[in-house]
Amino acid sequence: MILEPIPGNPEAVLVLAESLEGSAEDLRATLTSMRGLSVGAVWDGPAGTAFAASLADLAPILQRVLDRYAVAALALRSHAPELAGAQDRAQAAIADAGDASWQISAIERQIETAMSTGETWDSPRVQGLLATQRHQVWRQQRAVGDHHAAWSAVEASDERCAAALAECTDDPISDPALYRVLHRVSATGSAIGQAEPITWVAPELKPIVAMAGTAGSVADGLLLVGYGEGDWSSVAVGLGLSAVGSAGGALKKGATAGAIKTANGEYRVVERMATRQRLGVGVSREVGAKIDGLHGLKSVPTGREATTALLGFQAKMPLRDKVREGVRTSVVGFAEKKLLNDLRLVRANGTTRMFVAGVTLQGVEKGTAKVIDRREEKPAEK
Amino acid sequence: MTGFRVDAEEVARLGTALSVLADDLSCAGEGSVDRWALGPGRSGAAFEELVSHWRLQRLRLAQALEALSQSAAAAGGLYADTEAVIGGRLMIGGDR
Repeated sequence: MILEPIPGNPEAVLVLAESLEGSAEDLRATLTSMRGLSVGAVWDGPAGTAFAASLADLAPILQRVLDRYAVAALALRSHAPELAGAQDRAQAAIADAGDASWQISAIERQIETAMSTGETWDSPRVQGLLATQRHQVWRQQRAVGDHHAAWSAVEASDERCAAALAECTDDPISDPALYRVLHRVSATGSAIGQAEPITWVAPELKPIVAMAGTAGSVADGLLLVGYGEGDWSSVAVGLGLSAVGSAGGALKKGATAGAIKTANGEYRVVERMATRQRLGVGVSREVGAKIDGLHGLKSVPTGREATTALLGFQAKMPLRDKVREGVRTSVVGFAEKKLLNDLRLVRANGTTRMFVAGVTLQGVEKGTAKVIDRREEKPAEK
Repeated sequence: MTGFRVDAEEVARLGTALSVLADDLSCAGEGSVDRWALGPGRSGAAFEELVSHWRLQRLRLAQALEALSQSAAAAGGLYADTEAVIGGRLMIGGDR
């Protein structure tokens, strides 16, 4: 029989208790300051009243956190010595049982030797050895019993500790079930199979799940949409769009979707979209644009387009510079107009944050592309 | 007529305390790292539940506290500065 030691570290449990007590103490001090403020002793005036009202909204949550930490610290402080005592008893029992087992084997060998030299079972020497062996067996059984008792004691203490912890965890500040699922999937970047709960909650995300091949990004998206956690850039990167340099574009397209510029120059929302829909529209449009771009690569300049390109290349200075400057000005002007137009669309939609994340991400993508280009252009060192 | 009674230093101190608390909350560790210490049984999982699974409220609380701490620190500093400037001017005026 192999007796296992009891896992765990009582000293570390006490450190955890101390840490929780420290946090509880900080919370208590803050709550005391907040209450002092709310009775007008420290900051009496319109701003102070507004500030105290904001703090008062947070006070019940802080009190719950304080209760959690204080009760948990007590539970851990009670459990630590029980764990330590049980571990000591279990360890002593393991040592005792091991020694008894060794003694039993040694006595067996002595009996074998005695029998091989002509002793019989009835001989006083063999009977003496058998008596000693019986005592060692009893000792071994007692050690097993002690070990079992130590485990039972720690299990009982563990149950009490778990019950106390569970009792103070059952409060309104616990994470909602959906949030837990999303966070777990987001944190583990888990396999497609785990996307099922997400697509059940938001069926319109099924195509994105299938396309992205990961559930983590969709979970990131839902965490951001539903709980305001994270940022759009990480969602786009997670979706794998950054690999084809489309993440920023997808967010920008999503942000501008549903709004148009009318013939008389007004910016209007023609379709109200939930953020989840925007993400889907942005991704599908950007992927479509990428596919169109790939088709475009196969074509070569012909006719007037080719002639202009050739003339531009052969043109001498200052004329060539002038042409370049003209082209640059018109391109910059176009880009500025496009940006202004997009900004008006996103302002109409109220999706500025999503758009700005897209612009930022595009900047990063272009910067990365330039670095890669330069590395490719650099001649090999000899 | 609006009346004021402000302990500027105390308000600024509260701002700092709120900021420290906000930092502590936003950086609070995950219980999964420490649950092993509690040994066998359910208490390790219960501890993890207690420490980790109020993340949503924890992050929101940290965000709200940080915003309030900035307001308090700014207001406390402003009240203290105003008091010092006006006090200084009155002292100069009194000397003349």
